[in-house]
Amino acid sequence: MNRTAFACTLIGLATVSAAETFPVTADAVFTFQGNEIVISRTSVVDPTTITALTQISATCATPCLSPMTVAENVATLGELDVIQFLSSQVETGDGLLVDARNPDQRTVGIIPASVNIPATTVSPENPYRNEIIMALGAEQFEGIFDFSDVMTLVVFDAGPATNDAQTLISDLLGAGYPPDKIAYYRGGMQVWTTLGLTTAEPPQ
Amino acid sequence: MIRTTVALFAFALVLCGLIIFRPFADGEVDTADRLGAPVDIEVTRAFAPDIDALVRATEATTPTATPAVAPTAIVQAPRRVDVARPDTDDTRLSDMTNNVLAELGFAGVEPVTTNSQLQRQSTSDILAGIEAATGQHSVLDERDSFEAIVIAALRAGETDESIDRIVNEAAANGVAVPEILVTSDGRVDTSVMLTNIVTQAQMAAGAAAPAIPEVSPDDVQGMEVRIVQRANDDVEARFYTVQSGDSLGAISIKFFGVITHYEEIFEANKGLLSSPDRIRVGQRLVIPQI
Repeated sequence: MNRTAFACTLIGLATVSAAETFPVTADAVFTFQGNEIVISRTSVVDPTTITALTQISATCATPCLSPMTVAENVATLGELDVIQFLSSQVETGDGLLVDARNPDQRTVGIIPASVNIPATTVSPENPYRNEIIMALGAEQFEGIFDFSDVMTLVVFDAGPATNDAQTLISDLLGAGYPPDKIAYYRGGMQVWTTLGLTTAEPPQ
Repeated sequence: MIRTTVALFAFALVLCGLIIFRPFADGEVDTADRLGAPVDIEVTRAFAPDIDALVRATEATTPTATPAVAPTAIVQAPRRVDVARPDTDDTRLSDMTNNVLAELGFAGVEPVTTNSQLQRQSTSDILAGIEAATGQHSVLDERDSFEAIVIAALRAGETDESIDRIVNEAAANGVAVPEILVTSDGRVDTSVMLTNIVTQAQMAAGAAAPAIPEVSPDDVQGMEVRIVQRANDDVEARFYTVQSGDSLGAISIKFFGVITHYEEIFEANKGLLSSPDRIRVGQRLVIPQI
């Protein structure tokens, strides 16, 4: 009995010590809302989070796999590009990492410093769409937008098996948002989490 | 000499045996047969992936790489939106009417949260998120909702004509109206709105829902009845050509007595109508049998 307990403790200790964190890149450190955020990688991934994220993707209508390029002239990014974006444009306030999921899906975790703009809220049907676009830096004059000072956006969603980010990007482009100010992180929350990269709790 | 020949022969025999039986080829996997015919491999998605395998694969990898630079692009021309019609939102007319009655103090009517209120709430959440990230303060206009405008007009005891003028002015100033109130000439159908307030008030007071009216092409302009022959019986198909000033709510009242059947009409004419407020003069709509 004692021996079993000892063995269990050893296994537990081994698991904990195996869960190291690795620094990602030298610039994976940035300041957001006055807090220093470090993006690192852990070697042990929590299977329950991945299960939850996979179930979100399963709610999308078939086949629902995102294309590599969602729109003309909108760049598709990988994790390192996202991290570089966070430590450069998001830190200086010129860029915004946009989470296109619904607020209830964000409870499984968010990419640090990401801001929630659910996919459907920028559709032309939403009467408050203009307010959201103006909050992104667009100026409005007699119903016409001036996008010259808008923020650069990197949009992601639950993962490559959902098309929330795609919907948001096409609605933004439809409103006149310049495509060179939008990029698409295709991996989304699913790949980010699977790689063991730092996640945060959604702000209350 | 004979020894050499026998040795060569034996070597050739072993070589042939190796080629034919391939004793060391265990690890090789056949993806296509030797004649080159392709093997069908079906790529499918499992509903729940093998999480353990995913976790193992993750643990096997180690980090290090250099960051890439995003390419730049050319600006695309913005798409134009049709502005001739009032703005609409997803608020159902029945929900809005319900809230109007509740606000006016009808017994037994509880207010409900309309889609418009939900949208407003979610927008203010989004703006708060963006503001927290950028420090840029943005204001969500405290503009009157369509509901509030109707309540104020009814409280003030305005006539039908002045209510019509008030709601159309509000719609022209960008107040979103329920979709089924938008008429074929881009106005707000006040008479449907008022009729529905009366109907819902009567129903809240315990009256029965209005009966489905008897309509015939003789007294309804734009209506047509065609006999469509089917295998077993003849079916009467009804059509209605949209007249000036019609809204989908008005057509629903015309044929079914209440606004709620607009959904069936819209569903039956999806090929023609992109959304319930995109109704145009001269469109020939199928009126479904309920």
